[in-house]
Amino acid sequence: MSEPLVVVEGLSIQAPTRLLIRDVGLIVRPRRITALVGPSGAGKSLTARASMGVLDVIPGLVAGSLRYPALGPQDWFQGVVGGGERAQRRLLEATRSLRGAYVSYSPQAASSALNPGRTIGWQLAIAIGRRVEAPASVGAEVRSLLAEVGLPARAAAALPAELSGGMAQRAALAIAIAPKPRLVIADEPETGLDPVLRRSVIELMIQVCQVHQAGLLLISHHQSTVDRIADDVVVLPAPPAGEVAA
Amino acid sequence: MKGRLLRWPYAAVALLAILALGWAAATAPVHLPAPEVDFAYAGPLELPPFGADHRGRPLLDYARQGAWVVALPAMVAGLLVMFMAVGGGLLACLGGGWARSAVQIASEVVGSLPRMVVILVVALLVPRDDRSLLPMAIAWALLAAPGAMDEAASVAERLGGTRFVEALRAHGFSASRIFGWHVVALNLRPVVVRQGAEVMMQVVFLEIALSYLSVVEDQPSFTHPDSMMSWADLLYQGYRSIVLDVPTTHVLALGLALISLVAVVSLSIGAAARAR
Repeated sequence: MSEPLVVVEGLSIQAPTRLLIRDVGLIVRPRRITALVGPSGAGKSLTARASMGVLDVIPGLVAGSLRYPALGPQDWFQGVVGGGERAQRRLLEATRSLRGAYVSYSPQAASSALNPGRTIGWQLAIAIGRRVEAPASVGAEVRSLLAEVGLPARAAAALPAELSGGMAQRAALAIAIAPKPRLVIADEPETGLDPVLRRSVIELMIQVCQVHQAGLLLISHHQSTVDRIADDVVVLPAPPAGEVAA
Repeated sequence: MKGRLLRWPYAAVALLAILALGWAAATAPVHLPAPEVDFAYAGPLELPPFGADHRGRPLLDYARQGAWVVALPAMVAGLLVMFMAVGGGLLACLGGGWARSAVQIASEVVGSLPRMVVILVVALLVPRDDRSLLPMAIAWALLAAPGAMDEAASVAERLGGTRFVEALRAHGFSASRIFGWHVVALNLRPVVVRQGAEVMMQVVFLEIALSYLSVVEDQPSFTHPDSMMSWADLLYQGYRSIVLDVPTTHVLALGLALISLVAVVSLSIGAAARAR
């Protein structure tokens, strides 16, 4: 089996008054789908962000390791555990070049992934610009990506507000895969979509990740979706009563 | 693309008008020239470009002095409001719930203040020898700022606030790129620039209103030294053409044209910033 794309072990994240995540581990491999499930407040999004090197809770990381074996043996959390805000900022800066290139993120609501002040084509061009090798024609690549997610070429000239919910989700997916990442993190991509659209977006996401030979870390509330598509499942326990994580 | 093309005519109009006003302010004479009775009531064709007043003094000098009186204070007020509006928008993106509440409370409190009364108090506090529009312009900007901050924060919240920042961070953008480019330049720009331009216009109109009251009452103005003329002097002299049938219609036309020019500048700046 090929090298895992990301390995998180023993992840524990502390908020000022409580432990948000305790001893979480996950592995995502190329062309495989790992689902991260758990009730609301279990820390799914927090875990996903941590696996990209984004830690925005203080005091934050208290235990764990983060490795991208496909890139090398380095433990990115080394020196960050217990280091507080300053160490987490250093990590954020050190992993910045990986985000948007090696790993990309599709947030919970498509509206958060899309800049309302710029056209879809412009945003795709920016995402394409993060590739290691620039394409011969950015315009052709934008059209190709839109076609890949089932959007017409004219969507390139549209603002996010001019798209329906499903189209916006497809556009967000196109932006997530535009840099040709090896790992895609999708944070509840089916949020706000009706059941039919939800299924088609998930199918599309799987298909696109297969085509690009990327691994997919899928955060989902829907057990039926997870049972149907996931190769591996990581279950986060519910937080203690009265506590809600990010 | 279409929007971007639309931006240029607005930006060009605003730029030309600002350059004209800037030139007028920069070249304003410290004193009006001595009266020349031969040119009294001279029209634009007799004494280009704008003619003369009832004592034969060129109206061009009135226009330039009026521009000098308002240029710097209006610009300072506009920039101050823009700066504070950007701060309000960024606070919303950084997730400062308490800061958002503070802005809302400040907005409501300041909004309930009688603005003109506050301005008059500030005017009375300024020493007579240091009369200037600047303190009043700053006070006006501070009164307008909470509203501008609140509007910018609303825009940032519609954008997704902290979730939008998180998404951009996950795409690998640096903090300066996220806040400076994606949040401020691309999304807050229309509302921030429009607010700044509106306040600039309001400060000019404030000066005209205060000076007009002074001229009517034959009192020294709060906003400028006695040696300088305001655009309100043009309006007052022009007004006499209506009520006293004095041949000063061209003076009124110039005063109204200058007011219109300021309004056009403000609207053009707002429209240029709004076009995507």
